[in-house]
Amino acid sequence: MFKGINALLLVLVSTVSWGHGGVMNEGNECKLRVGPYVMNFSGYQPENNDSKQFCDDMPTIGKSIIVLDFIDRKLRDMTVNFRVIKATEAALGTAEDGVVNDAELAQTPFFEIPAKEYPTGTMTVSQNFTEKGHFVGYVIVEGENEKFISRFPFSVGYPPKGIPEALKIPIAFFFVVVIVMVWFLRRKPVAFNEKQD
Amino acid sequence: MLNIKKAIAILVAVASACIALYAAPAMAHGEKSQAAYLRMRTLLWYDVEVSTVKLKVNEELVMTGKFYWFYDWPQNIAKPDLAFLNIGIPGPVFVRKASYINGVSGTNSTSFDIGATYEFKVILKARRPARVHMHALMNVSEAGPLIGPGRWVEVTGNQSDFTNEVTTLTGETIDLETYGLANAIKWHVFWGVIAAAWLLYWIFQGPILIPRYKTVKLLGEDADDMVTPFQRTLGLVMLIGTMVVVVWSYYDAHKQYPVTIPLQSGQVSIPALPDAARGVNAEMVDAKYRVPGRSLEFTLKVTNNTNSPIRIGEYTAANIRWMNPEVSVAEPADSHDPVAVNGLKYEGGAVMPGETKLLKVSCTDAAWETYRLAKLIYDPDSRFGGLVFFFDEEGTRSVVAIGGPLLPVFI
Repeated sequence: MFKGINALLLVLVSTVSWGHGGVMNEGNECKLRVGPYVMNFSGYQPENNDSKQFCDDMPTIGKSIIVLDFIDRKLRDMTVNFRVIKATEAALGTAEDGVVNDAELAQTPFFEIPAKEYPTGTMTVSQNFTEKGHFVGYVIVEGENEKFISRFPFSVGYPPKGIPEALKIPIAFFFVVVIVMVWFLRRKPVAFNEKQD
Repeated sequence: MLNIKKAIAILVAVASACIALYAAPAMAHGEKSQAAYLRMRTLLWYDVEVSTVKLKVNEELVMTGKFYWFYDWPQNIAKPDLAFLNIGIPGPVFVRKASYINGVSGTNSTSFDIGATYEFKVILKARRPARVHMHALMNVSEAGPLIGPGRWVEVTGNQSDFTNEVTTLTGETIDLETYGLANAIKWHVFWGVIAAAWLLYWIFQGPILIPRYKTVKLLGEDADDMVTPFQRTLGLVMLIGTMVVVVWSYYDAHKQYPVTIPLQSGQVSIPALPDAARGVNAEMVDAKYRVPGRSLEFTLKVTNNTNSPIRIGEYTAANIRWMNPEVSVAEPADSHDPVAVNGLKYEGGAVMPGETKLLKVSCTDAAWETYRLAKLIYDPDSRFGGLVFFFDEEGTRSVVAIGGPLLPVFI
């Protein structure tokens, strides 16, 4: 039984970090790593979800807004190019998601924001996704003597599979409670030895 | 049959363990971790400067600045009836030699007035080599620390060279770095040895913990018989001995140091600075936060009661500055100084003497997101605050606090 509890606890504590390629969900923030630099990644679908923020995958089709906020000030002095390429499959969920593919980069992008400097530290990308599909995003930052590329696959119009994030912890907790209750129901009550005269 | 009480107790323990283990690591510290409304509507710091960012052990650094207690203080935060000016540094890299608020010594705690402005000065002496991000800090009783702007400072040299000498009222010169250290170690060792001996003695006197509990249950009313007459005598000797040592040490210390002053038990009242608005009045008409653009846009109704035209040069909140370079210029002091050098724009131009005018202001920068101020839109009342700096033609500054509710928009 304790192995089961340990496994559940490990599941609980392993929710700190996940992501697709360059985009990582760290704690409660979605971050995009480009070489040594870090940006905050925020996805919005205001027509469907008001102010809810998404981390890479967009659950529905329609008007979508991606905002990149530069955490490292140096990025404000560099050009940023954002391009999205159509893909045939969803993110693998492995390290391969982040591997830059030159053949992909050579393709005509689905849409692109040409390289430009963003002195306010915020890059806003608006796009209307009319049909669901899988995509690969590329963010290319270029300074005087440096250039870094980040790749992140994402999907549009595919609701998240499996157990919703908000229910994972309550369900895990429920199972822990049930297992503990069953364990106690199986045990006989402890009886102390009677005092011998 | 299930022992309900025991089952509930263990369930509570398991639940506590789950919660404790689930606690994710903190992804931020200091200035970013506090709630946005707390940082924008409590203590607003400005003009914070350090005299140097690189110094050697034993050299002094002076931090100066001003702070304003925001007029629209959050209801759930304790008011600054008891507060202490401090400096936040990771580790004892500096010692504080003196601090002043409006020229009055800040050695004691202080009560402050909401809606008032004060200036401060803290003198620090470098103690050990390190590179630290140091903040001005105000500890408010029952509210916690309210953090000011941070600066990276590097201390070089050798800690063994550090001295912190002071002259007492009786003319004795002592080094506070080592003063009383041997005595403190002596007493810690003395009580530690006694405590360890007492603990070890009882560990080897029959069953302990669960076996002892079971034995007590088994013996019932006769459980006290487990303690022998010798152990009772020993316990009495330890009790009396401890009390004698404590009482003797207290009187001995009092004899050696007859006059002691518990500094932080005192409280002084310090008058505020004159009104920094200098005759400029600004009222919030409306405000919205443009989510994708990371921009706060607000309309101000400004009345200029001064003798010179005024224009907006800066908006500051939560230690972040949005500058209008056409009026006032500032550059980040270091890599972690959040200054939006071209972040403020406004429509309406100068406000002439005696004129009342509407000004449309926008403050744009990624800092709204990266410094977690945008979280404000998830608050029940989404109220923000800050200071607007107006400048007249001679560069004289008027500082006006503004605030109110804002609406998040996407278009």
